[in-house]
Amino acid sequence: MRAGTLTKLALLALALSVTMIPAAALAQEAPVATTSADVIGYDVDFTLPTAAKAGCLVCHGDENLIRLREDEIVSFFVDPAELEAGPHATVQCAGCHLDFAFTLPHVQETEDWQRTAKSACKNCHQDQYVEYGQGAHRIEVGNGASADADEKPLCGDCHGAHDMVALVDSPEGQAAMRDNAWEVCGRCHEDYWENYNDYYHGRPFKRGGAYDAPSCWDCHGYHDIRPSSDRRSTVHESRLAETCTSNPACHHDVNVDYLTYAEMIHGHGELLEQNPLFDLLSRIRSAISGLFGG
Amino acid sequence: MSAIVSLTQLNIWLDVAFTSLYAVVLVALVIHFLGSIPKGRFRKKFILKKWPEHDHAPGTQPKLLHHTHMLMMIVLAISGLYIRFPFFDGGRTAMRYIHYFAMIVVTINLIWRLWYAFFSKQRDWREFAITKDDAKSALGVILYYSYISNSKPHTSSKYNVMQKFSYQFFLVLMLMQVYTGFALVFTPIFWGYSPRDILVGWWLGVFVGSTDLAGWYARTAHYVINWLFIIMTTVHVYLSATEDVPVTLDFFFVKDLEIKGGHGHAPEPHAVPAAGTTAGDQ
Repeated sequence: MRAGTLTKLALLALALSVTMIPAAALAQEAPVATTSADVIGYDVDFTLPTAAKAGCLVCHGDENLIRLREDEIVSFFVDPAELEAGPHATVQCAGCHLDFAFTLPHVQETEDWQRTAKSACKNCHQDQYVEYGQGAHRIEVGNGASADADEKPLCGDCHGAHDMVALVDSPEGQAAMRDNAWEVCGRCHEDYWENYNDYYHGRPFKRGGAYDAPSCWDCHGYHDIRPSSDRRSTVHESRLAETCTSNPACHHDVNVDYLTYAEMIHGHGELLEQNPLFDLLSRIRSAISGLFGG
Repeated sequence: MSAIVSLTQLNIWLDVAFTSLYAVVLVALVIHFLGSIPKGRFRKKFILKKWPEHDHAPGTQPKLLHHTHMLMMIVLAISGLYIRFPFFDGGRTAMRYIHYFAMIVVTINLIWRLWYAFFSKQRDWREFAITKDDAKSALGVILYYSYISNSKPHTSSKYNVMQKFSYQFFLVLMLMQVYTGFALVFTPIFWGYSPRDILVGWWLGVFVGSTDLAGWYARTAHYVINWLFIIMTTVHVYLSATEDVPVTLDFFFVKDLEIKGGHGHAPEPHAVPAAGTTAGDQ
């Protein structure tokens, strides 16, 4: 081998070693695996809350933005298309995430940031928030604070978040809300969701996909919703006639006799079980299945 | 108020009673069919192929009317029951429009059939009229079909008295079903008035105190008649299939009916051979 060739090989080996040593050193420094406890936050001071939408979506517009939290993958992706299509397309992220500017770095171990965002609506939708404050879902403060305050729904719990659709004058928004009735009401009021099963309201709404069958809030109201025992409730006995006839597409001249059907709306199953013939048939069926070891 | 509680519970009673009754009817028909074996009727009809004889086949027009009607009534029953008991998700609106479409076809069909019976060239209403002879044969027909008697009363007309009564009852039910069905429509399409206002609101509504309540009664009647149709049609299908298979096959364009002149039988009662005998033993 000529001396020139040897010199070239030596130079190449030197160059490779200079290139790879720092990389190897870095590889040794990097953690093998990280847990949620290791992550203490991100330095996001490269952007400003006032330019939040463009800034936040730099990271949150990436569908691969995930974290491992308690062995579960949690996505922090926000679909820019959904935001643009929604009613809050012109609202900055910090318009709802009010605590963003004050909690840098914004990765926290608590859910307070979600509660802040879910109730930030009050700053613009003040009338609705006043109504909400009069209803059963309001969160008592001070001496009236209840132990289950954390379970009370905030605006975002019913209306959704980034994928929210416009409700006002929007059939699509109304339809989207109806389609999400279980998420809106049912997941908390499971009993009432399950027994909303009568012929003309519950079954068509839940199973029939009927556009004219009432959703929960069509009868019970929404922001200032109250328990039926409250005289101000739209489903209080004294206000049923007014509620049932409030929509011309529903009922027209209901009387007291007609309104007694209301007991069927959430009580069909109970009435069925009270039926003596049904009870007899159930016993016969049980006896027959018992004979066959059922 | 207590009266309407029972009306609310009446809905439950109707569901339970009619579904139970329908199950009983199905079981009864199976038992009835099995009863034809020891009575020798099964052997006579299905083995010896001794079916009623006919001097003419059903006309094409009544056949088409019957099939259109049958198809639409099946659609009405399924879509109607779906409206009350949605047995799959998301079909309510579609089922309603299907129900409306079938209702229109059936209503037109009914008008056409009534025209055919009373005003057409063939006007066949007499075939459905119950005569004195039919009245006299009624007891014999009942005894024959309940296996108490093995002698089938001869009928000089196309249908026996039980068929005539059934078909007349079908007509009454049809008219009531059309009436109560339209009475369920509460959209004000006639100068501010709805079909419900016009059909039940002004009289029944006044009587029960509310147009909506009158609509409820109409809905309940509609539901009851629906079950009567289902039960009667089931019995009709059973009797058609077991009593006269050749004419049923002809009716459904499967096999042409064999025509025999003179209606094929003497005016005396038709004796059915007892079990273990053959027609030749008579």
